[in-house]
Amino acid sequence: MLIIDYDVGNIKNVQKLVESFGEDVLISAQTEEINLASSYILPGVGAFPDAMARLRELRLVDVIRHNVLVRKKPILGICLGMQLLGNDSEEGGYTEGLGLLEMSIRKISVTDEFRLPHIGWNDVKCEKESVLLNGLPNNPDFYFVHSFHAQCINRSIITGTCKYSHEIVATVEKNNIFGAQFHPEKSQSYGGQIIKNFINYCKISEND
Amino acid sequence: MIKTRVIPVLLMQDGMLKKRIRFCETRTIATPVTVARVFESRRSDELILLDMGRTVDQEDIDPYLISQIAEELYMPFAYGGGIDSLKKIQEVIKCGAEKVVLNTAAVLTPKLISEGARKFGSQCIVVSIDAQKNDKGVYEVFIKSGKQPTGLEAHEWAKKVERLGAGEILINSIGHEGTMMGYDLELIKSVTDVVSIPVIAMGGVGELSHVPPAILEAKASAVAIGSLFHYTHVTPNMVKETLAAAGIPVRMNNPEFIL
Repeated sequence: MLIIDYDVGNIKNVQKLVESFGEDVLISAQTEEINLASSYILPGVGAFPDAMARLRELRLVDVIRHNVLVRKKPILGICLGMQLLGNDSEEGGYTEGLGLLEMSIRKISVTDEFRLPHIGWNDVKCEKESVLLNGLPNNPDFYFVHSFHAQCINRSIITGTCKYSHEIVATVEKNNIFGAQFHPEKSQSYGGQIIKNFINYCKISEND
Repeated sequence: MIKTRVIPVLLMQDGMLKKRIRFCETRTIATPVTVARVFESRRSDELILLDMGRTVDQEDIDPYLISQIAEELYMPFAYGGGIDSLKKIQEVIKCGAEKVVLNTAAVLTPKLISEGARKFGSQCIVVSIDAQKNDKGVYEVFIKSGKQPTGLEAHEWAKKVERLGAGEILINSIGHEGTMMGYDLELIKSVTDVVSIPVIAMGGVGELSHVPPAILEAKASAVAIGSLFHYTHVTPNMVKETLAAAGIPVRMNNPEFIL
């Protein structure tokens, strides 16, 4: 498994969690290594435009798209990483994303009662059977910290939602592409289960 | 729905955890890594570690200690103490902390807030405000571990901090901290009334009944608690039970993350 290191955010804790399941992890932004890896985690903290600029600077956009769309390798986007899987974001203007999932990233709209960023533990409702949420009890809490959310053109990719000032998409899935708006590496045991489920999916699909 | 966070606060000096009373005396409690481990096993929502021994313009942060603490934790962790540059913010985050807490440097160099938010994201930047009533009856902001008055009014500074891009405000009462006499609700509300970012209440909790008013009356989004956890038998789960009984949603019943 390769954690894509594009200098945006804290990779250490993601690495720690994945390795805790006995999985070997490579941290890299090298094209050759990305092409050789069998699965990916795209972490992310910070702003969408900067993150995309960084991915472009490192010439990773096409490499990621090719490996995920053509070679069908699994990818899990976390927080900003999930948002980057989408078509575009209005954060800081208008920026195109990786275009791997049909979603647009918009600012969470709030009334007086709700503050931004959406920070803290919130419970996720499982909307349909999903790889990531498999084996979890009803309404598990995960740690969220974000001000923008995914609007999905096709709701069929939504597997988990939570409630804030409005519904917020918490997890998305389409074939080999997965996203979690919350931070599994900061969500203790339920977060661990998410990663474990992704690892198991990767193992099974590698054997296919 | 979003849960109210209960956040243990660890104050550190010379590598050891301290209890601080009204920003004057300190008493040693334990080693931070051990205590972090305990709070992780108790499934705390989050942890704040403030290194009082470090102030601005001093030597670099201690990456080894921050890494050691981050290693124990599978929940978010905010670190503060003399952080006065983008480089230090980057180092702290690289060591494994999710958030940095800026205090003195935020006042002395406000653009650190905006530049930090720009580079690392607002969610990484927590601005801590230490305040107490001055003889004009106004809540004044103090820096350098509560020693230096700034002439800034707490709620005005809070508004500016939000405009600059901070993700959260940690509002701390100098007069109440360590006294265990309860939060300074008036101070907390003066800040929550004027900002739309989450506010974490800190300073003064001595018993369980002190906690719900910070949320219900003073409108804080989270409660930071120090002395109560260090000096009494009270645990974060007991605080949560008290909040839940008051009708406040909290995160409960989460199994321990066992490797």
